[in-house]
Amino acid sequence: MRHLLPIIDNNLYIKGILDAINVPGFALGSTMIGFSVIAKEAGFDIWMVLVTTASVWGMPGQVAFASLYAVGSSLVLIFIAVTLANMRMMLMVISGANILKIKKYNLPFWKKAILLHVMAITSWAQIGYMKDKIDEEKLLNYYIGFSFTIFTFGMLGTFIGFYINNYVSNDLIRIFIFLTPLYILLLIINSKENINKISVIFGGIVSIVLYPLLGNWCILLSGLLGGASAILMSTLKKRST
Amino acid sequence: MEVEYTFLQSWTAVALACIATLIWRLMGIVFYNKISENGLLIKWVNSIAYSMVSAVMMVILIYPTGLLDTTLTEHRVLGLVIGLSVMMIYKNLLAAISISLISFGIIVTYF
Repeated sequence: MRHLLPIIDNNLYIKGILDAINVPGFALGSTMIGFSVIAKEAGFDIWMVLVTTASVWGMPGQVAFASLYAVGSSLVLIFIAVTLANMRMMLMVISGANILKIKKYNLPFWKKAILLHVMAITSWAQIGYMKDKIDEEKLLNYYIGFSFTIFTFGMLGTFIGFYINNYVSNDLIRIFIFLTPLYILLLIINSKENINKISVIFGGIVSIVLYPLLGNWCILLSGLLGGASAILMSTLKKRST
Repeated sequence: MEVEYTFLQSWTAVALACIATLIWRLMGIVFYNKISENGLLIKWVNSIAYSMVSAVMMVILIYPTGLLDTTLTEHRVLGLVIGLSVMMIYKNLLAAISISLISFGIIVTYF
């Protein structure tokens, strides 16, 4: 992969790999173990589970797919549900590409597609967290090392999860599944920019209130309301100072 | 569990799930190329992304499906609160995650 993509700083590329072989890799691997357990129960074989993780690479969409598959839903319904569950991907890709300043590299479309396909919430949150610690011009090197390592952990977790419930109790697996939401929430609330912190708090609170009424639609609405509120508060604060 | 899909239907479902994701990612790349990198629109998109990710994670924590659903909401919230508290006090991400995860493990196992 490093021959296909623009790596100009090997140290940052390796730092990305090393940072991923830590809590993030462990968290994502555990999450994918959880998905694999659900998917196996739903009737997936090992190849379907692996291809789904590799091609969808987004937990909410994957879980929606496995849940609907388990109850024998129509293919059209599966498509619509996964499409809606993954709508946030577009915004995450726009935001992530902007953090990485992808435009500067003049990459062909297919290379951008590969780079941004492996962008999971974990890697997006990680580059948002690291952008103040690493030279903006070189952040892409870090991202490549980090995100492809995370992807590897995700695939390994998926593979292990398919067979693990024969050996490890679900009581233990559920503790590790808790790790991913915990890690990502702590990462994004720790953002240096106040506007992002406000977005996180608004989005989190609104989603809890609206979920019983709107189901998964609450995620989209929480995003729009949280984002708009944060922008509004930030603008008002700037005007008053 | 009884599976009602044929081999072809199963793989068509996988292909559709893949397309359903790919559409958004490719649209993201296309739109990013058309947006100014420092404008208000990208700031708004960024804020929405933060809010949506926070919303997804809170929904997973408060209204989970699968194995996490076998734990109590109070236990999950307590685990999160412990993590946030450690983070605020010590400003150390790894410590916050470790202490929170260990606490959650103890709580769901013994309480």
